[in-house]
Amino acid sequence: MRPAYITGVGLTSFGRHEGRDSLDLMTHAAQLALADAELERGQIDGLLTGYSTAMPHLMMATLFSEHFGLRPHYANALQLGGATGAALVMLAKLLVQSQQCKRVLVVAGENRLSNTGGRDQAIQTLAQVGHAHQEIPFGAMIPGYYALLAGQYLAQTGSTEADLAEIAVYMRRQAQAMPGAHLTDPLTVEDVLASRTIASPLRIADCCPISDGAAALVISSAPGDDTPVRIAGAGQAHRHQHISSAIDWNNFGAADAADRAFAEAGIGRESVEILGIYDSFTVTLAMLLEETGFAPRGGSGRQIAQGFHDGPDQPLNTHGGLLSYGHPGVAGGMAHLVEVTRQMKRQAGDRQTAGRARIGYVHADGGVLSAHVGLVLATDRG
Amino acid sequence: MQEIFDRISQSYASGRLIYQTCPACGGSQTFARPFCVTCLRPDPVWQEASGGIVVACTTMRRAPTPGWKTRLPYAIALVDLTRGPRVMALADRVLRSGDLAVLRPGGMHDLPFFEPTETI
Repeated sequence: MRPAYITGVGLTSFGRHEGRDSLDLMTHAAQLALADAELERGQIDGLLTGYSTAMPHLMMATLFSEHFGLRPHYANALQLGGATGAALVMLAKLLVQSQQCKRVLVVAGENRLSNTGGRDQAIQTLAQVGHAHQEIPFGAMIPGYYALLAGQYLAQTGSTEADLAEIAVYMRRQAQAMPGAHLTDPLTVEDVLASRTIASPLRIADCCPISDGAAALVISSAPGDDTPVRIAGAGQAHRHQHISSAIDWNNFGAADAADRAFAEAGIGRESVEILGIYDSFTVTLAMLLEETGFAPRGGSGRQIAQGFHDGPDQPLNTHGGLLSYGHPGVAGGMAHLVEVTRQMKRQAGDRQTAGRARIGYVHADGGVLSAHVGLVLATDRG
Repeated sequence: MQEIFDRISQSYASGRLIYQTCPACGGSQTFARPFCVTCLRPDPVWQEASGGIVVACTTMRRAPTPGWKTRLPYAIALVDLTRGPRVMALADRVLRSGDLAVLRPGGMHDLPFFEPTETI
């Protein structure tokens, strides 16, 4: 199979971008990614976009294509909730490998926070991932669905709310070193446990913020600079949409997606030297880290508290994740990919991990641990 | 599907929670459809839930809509029915994972509502 490389990344700051709409933010990220890849717009022959809850549109890819002045041979907009960004990169890889395209721009962004209606409107829109007739009527919404997962997680594993709080504290510490992060105020376990409850057992500090922002990547058939990051493997799994249907506690699909990605890469989990794992809530990260095999069951909070991911061996979400860098929808999940790529290329500035970061694993989920995409990234650096 | 969802809404309004089982294969399903998702045969039959074991229960302190805001705090539970699938409904805030729960006659807020019980 022909290789596909990440040859450019772009990431705006996440937070409040007053007066800027989805197309403004996507344009900014796209320009950053093209500059990073040292490409002109005319060299892009494939365009993949996410969706924007702030600017719903039937044809987001061609809408952005016209706006940004592209003439792609292939365009598509994809919707898999939080897994969209990783799924777009998987599709870009397939387009490059099949020789349909040589250089694919992947871009998403929106003003989810400062949009008319703001946070309340976003919460109401996001609640729609629940079942229209048999879940939403009960006043359920995203934090409620994840709170029901958290309740199961704590009951099944014996893990504690303080263990989950450690995850929020770790992400905040990472974000404090990351330019452009949405949340950077100091945060302790005591602060997390004292923060107001949103949906028990989840408190506000267990939840990611709603942000404005955008991210972009360029996926190419040519390796680009002297530290190419190859998309070595990709896998998906989709076992349910709604939490009421997620009845197999041992298999939400995360492990299946990871297994498929590692099998394609021909690389084992033990080789992974940097992680970017979706963290919409503290419990999301805990469950994904454990099901994908990077922490023992019920042990992710303690593993993080013990400083395992602070060391050089397996840094995790060094940009602060959704929990603290922020979450503007599709771009939120793409930020993990941007950060892991930068670390692997040794372009992470002051945050550059001391470790080797030659093999990376990125995992994203959409819905309520519903749609899973895993990506194994590799550099051939020694 | 509209007929099916109307039937569910009507039962919800009286505090009753219904689900479907398949007379052919014995499968049961949470989400109503005109067919059995296990064997794809048409016309599953309706059953009425009574109680089961609480999988998880969350107390909501933030509401998705202005209507729900006036009812805060309220709790939502996932319950594995004794002879049926996993379902979602409103619940008493005291319920914890592993507890036994039954539907309260008449429900709450015109919706099915699980409350604690010693036996089912």
